[in-house]
Amino acid sequence: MAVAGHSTTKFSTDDTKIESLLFSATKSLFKQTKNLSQKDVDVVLVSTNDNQKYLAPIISEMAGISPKISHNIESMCNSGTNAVVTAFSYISSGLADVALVIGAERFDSPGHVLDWDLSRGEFVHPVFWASMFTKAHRRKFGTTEEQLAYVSAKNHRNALDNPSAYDSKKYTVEEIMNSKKITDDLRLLDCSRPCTGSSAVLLASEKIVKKITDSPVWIRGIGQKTTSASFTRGDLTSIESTRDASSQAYHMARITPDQIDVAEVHDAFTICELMVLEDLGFVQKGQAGKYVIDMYNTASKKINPRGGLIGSGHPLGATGIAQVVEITTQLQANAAGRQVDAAKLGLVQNMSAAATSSTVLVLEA
Amino acid sequence: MSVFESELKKGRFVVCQCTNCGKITWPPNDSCSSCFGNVSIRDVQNSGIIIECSSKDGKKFCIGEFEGVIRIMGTVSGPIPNPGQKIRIDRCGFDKGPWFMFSVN
Repeated sequence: MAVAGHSTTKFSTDDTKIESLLFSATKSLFKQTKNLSQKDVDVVLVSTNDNQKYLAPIISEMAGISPKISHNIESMCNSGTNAVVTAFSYISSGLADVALVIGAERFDSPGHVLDWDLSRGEFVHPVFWASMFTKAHRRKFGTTEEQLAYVSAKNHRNALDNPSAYDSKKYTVEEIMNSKKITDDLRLLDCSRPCTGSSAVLLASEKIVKKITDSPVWIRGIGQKTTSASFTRGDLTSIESTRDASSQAYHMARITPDQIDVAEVHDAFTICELMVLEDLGFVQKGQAGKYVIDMYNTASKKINPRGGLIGSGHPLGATGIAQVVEITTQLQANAAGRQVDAAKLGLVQNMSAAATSSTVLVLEA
Repeated sequence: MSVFESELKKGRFVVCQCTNCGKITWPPNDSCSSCFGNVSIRDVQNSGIIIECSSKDGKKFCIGEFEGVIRIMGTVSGPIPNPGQKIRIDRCGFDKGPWFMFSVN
């Protein structure tokens, strides 16, 4: 099974209706996928945390599609990658050959507040769990504020080459370290920004995909793991759900992490990128800070070439799909100024709600 | 409003314990998350430890762990404590959501 088409709209803070966002990504995907017609699409899945109802059938109708299957998927920040895995499952089961997955979010999404979780007490905003992760990682591994700032500097710099990024701007490490203090452990520029945006991918079965595109990108590995819903378990310096999901994905793809050429990882906060790189097995625990500084100093775009969430913005329901779009674009060698040389094998890691749930995908050119 | 929430509103922090297997279900639920047995409500033992702590605008917040399995976030008075330090719950309640105030023993 392969990615046969994709699109991403420009991220912004525009006050745009969720239906319009979803439709924009859909229209763009059809325009960019020349051999695709509406009647080819068996499945339409919508990824969002928006409260609007029945969006998948609404968008299907707006786009002139009468799919066999259409429904929404909500799983906080991980919605987009969950939707891609669901589409994969429909196709691999034989229920469908072509699935359109569209994700969108508005800047004022209800998904930004984790208010179902009694264990968080009054601390329902994500910056509080991220502060706990940061403090614990710093305490255990000696991770520095400067190392965290390099994550942000790298990803903001990468976003300069991403035309879809929201308000991309280059920041020095010093500017990041002097940005407004949000908590004792995190500054403003350690954080990704909620925004408005949409993204779409088309998945197709092996028997159909060559009719749609000459440059399919194959899905070789999938892993998913949910450890809890509440912020109540585990070691604060490690992301169990990502460790488990990546192990599954590597096993399915029959690869090891050192074979990955390019990756998009969930950097909702700078600490997340460090922890994820360690838990994906790219570096030993406690070594990601140095690894990121090396990437910055060598202008490597291996990790988060589009700028990640920090550089591009974080429209929750679109994020996971935009990550898949980026890795697909990289493996198709179409990423222009942010292209990673000779990228053949890529990885997407996405997660939700204090990393209680993770998805990892392995893609191959 | 659940029993947990209504008790918390009265300033009482309770936990659900299974009458069949004895395990604590946390976060609270009407049924045991291990064996689906019935649960009874009892007060949480008011002696816990700090898991981690930070602060925002001078307000210190932390994760406290009670009875080895019940983790909650709350504010803490005094200097920023270190992981492993013993704490107790001074006050708790439920307004728009739950809240807890700890102090270091």
